[in-house]
Amino acid sequence: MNRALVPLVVSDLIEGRPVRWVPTNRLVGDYDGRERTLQIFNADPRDQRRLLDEIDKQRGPLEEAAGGPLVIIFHSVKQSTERYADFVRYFVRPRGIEMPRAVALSPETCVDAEDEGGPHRRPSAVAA
Amino acid sequence: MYLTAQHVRSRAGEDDYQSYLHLHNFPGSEAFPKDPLTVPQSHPGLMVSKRLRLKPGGNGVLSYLDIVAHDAWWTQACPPGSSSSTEWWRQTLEPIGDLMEGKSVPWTVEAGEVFVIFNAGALMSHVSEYKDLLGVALGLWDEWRARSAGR
Repeated sequence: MNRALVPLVVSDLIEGRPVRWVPTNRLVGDYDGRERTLQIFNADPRDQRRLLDEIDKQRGPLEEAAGGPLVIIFHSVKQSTERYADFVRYFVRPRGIEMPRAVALSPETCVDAEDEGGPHRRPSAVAA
Repeated sequence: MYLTAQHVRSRAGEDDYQSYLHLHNFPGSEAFPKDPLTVPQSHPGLMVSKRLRLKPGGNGVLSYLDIVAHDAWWTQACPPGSSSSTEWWRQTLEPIGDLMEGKSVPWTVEAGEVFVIFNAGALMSHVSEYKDLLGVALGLWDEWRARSAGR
C-alpha cells in the first residue's frame, strides 16, 4: 500500500465516509505527525469509538504506508456540512465491481477497429 | 461521455497510444444508455476528438482504458476551487491503479458516477500501464476542454 491509498482504504473500513489527508495549507500548529493527519468526515461523536475500532483492524499496514502513527481528526455530520461541504459532496471512493468477462474484450485477442466512430476494438480474425 | 485510450502495436512492431473522446449530450449523438458498461462496445456516442499516429485497423491491442460517465457528471464533478477538472480527475482516478494492484484484469471500477474499465495483457505491468493510459486519455480531455473553452 502506498500513502495515496491510505484515505481510500480507511474510507472503505468506515462505511465509505469521506476521508483525506489534511491539505498542507490547512495544517495548523507544529506537532509530531502533522504530515500523517487524516480528516474523517460525517463522523458523529457517538460513532467515533466504533470507527476507530474498525481502523485499528488495519492500523499496522496503514501506518506503515503513512510512514508512522496516524493522527485522526473527526468531523461531525453538522461540521462536515457547514465547513467542508465541497469536499464531502465531491468525494469519490473508487471500488472494484464485477463485470461479465465477455463485455471486456481481452487485449490478447483483439485489434483496433478501423471505424473511428467506435467501437475502437474488435476480436481479431485469428481469435474469431 | 466515453473517453478511451488504447496501447496498440502494428504488424511492423511500431507502438502507439490512441485516444478518443465521445459525447452523448451532443447534437447528433445517441442517448446515454441505461447500462453504462455497454457504452464502449454498443453505445459509444458521438466521437468529437481523437489523437492517434498509427492508422487504425488491425493493429494488435496491448491494453486499453475506458472511462464512462454521463457528460454532465464528468464536466461538473470537479469541486469549486480546483485548479482544473483534468487535474481533479487525475488525482481521483490515479489511485485506482494502486487500489487494484495484484487483482486480475479486467479491472472494472465504479468511482462515484464514473465507470473505469482497464484491461491489459498478462505480462504487462498493470499499474504503470494503467497510469500511462490514464495520462493519455486525460491529455485528450484537457485538449478538448481547452478547445471548447476557446470557441
